[in-house]
Amino acid sequence: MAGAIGLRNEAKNLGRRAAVTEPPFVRAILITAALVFLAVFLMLPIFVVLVSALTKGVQFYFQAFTEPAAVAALKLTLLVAAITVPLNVLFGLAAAWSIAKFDFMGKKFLTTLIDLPFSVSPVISGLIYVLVFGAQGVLGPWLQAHDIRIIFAVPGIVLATIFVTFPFVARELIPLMQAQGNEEENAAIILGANGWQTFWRVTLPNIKWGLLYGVILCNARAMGEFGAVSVVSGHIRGLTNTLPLHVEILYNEYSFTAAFAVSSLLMMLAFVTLALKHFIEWHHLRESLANH
Amino acid sequence: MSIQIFDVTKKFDDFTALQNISLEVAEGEMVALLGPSGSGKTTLLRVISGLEPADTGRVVIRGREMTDKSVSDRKVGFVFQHYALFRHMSVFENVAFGLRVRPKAERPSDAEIKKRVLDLLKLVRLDSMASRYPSQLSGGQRQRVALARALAIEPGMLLLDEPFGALDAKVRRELRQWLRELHDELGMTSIFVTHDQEEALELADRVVVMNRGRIEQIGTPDDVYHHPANEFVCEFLGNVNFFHCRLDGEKVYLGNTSVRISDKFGLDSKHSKVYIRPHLLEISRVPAEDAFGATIRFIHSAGPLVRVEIEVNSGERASVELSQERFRELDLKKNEAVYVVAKEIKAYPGDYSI
Repeated sequence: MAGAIGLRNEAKNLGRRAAVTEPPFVRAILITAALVFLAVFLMLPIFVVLVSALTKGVQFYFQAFTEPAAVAALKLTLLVAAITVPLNVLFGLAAAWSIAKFDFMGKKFLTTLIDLPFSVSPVISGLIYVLVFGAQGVLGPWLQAHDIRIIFAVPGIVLATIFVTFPFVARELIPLMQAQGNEEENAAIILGANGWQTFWRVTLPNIKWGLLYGVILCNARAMGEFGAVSVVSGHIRGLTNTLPLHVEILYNEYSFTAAFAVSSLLMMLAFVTLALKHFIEWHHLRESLANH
Repeated sequence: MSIQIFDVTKKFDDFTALQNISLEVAEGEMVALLGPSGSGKTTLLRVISGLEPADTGRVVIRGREMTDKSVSDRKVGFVFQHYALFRHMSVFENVAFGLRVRPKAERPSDAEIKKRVLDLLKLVRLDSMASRYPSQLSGGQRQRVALARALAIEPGMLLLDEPFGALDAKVRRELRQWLRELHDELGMTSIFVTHDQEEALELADRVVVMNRGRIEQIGTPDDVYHHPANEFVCEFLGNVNFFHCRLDGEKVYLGNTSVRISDKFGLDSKHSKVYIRPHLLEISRVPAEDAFGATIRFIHSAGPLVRVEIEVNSGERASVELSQERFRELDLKKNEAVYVVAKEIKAYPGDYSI
């Protein structure tokens, strides 16, 4: 992980940096600028969200989560994440495995393709599914004839979320698996292990931190995705609204306090994600330090 | 015969890694595959192990056709160049791995596994390190764990890819001796890959010299060193000086000096290169019949032998090795003019090309 490596270099150079550092006032200006920026653009909004959420009291705050539409949105969000994350773990592992361990035609193309969801606007990610599965879409008439609903229904939301979150696991694993090569796997096979044993006993333990890191980022995005989901959802309250969409609806209906209350839930998720991410990085750093 | 390889060819895209290789290794023998990088020696080892399928040709192990058999059917012990230890497992678990992944019917009990692993660790003198992780071991220790792990499945043969490549000179020498003793003790058949001629000559019963996917020579260390089959083997095994020479009737001239050639076969007017090992050149202060003139350019006197770099009067450079005693006796100085006599000169057939 790039962050972990950067950290290590920093620690190594700390002693030497004193001799070549900028004068104190330059440092003070730079640090102040960064802190002010963070305060205005990051801390202030977070503070506002929390304060606004609580303006009508704690009781109202909790009521915002417990009303049926909010509960439905929360359930749907969890359901989407519960489907999307395992699938993307599977896809990510398969993609990373094939890219890192085999040579095949179109490998470069596949690597580029994996990045596509990162480079495409989420709105377009949603729109492509409307164009394929929507009533006017390519498969629309056939789907309608068979009474299968994808767009403006849960399957569409899941598909759009899978698309948007696809790169997280694969991107995390590819460099890791490439760096590790397949010598250990070869050793396992020569010692008599079959493919399954090799994967569970050798490959998976070696990539577990990278995988977990990818899963957490993937999960955060799956729960927080707005753009792509917004296009395919249809905003049917209690049916196809995820938490981010629910926040938008509340806001548009001028229920600011409720909107902020639900937002604070998503924010909490972000904090948990950050904490987990930090923990994994720290753990990984410790392990990689021990390995050198 | 323990291992037989018939006419194996292996290509990677348009690069030919192995070309019509045939080789037989006897039971209990230790064979070195020696060659520069890219000579195909590691590929050959991987073909024998089954890690790499051969394009054509056959591999027979102990009389059993193994060409299409999978890696695990071949029951070979393989030690990887960088050991490929399982980094998340302790030393004990690394060695136990081959036993633990066996199908249930063949798997020894936990107590048996424990005994077997500890015995092996004792054998490689690492019994006190069982609970350590690979990252906590030195290079030499990792190497021995890799060896114990390979031996755990009781393989019929041991294949080692550059077994000492990543170790420093002193550990390398110790481990080399130790590995040879272990090989004799276990009565294994071993093949190891190396680019270090000293290692191959010291350790192996027979040396297979490889170059560009072909076998140049197979022979005992004495054979390949003293009777190299061709230019390549001569150049690759130990230091060698080569000189351009001129043929005039029956006489061979090095510069203006007529020299005696021990192996004159194949020397013709087109091919005019001869080989002399540094320790077969002798420096003297008095001219002799077949001595040629030279000037001393550098003297390296640290070590058991003194190496003197000379420039022959025809302009070519060469190095000479002589004992410290002889060096003191001659009292050589830089830039002095001396006479050099060759005790043995070799030439090779001209159709050979590197």
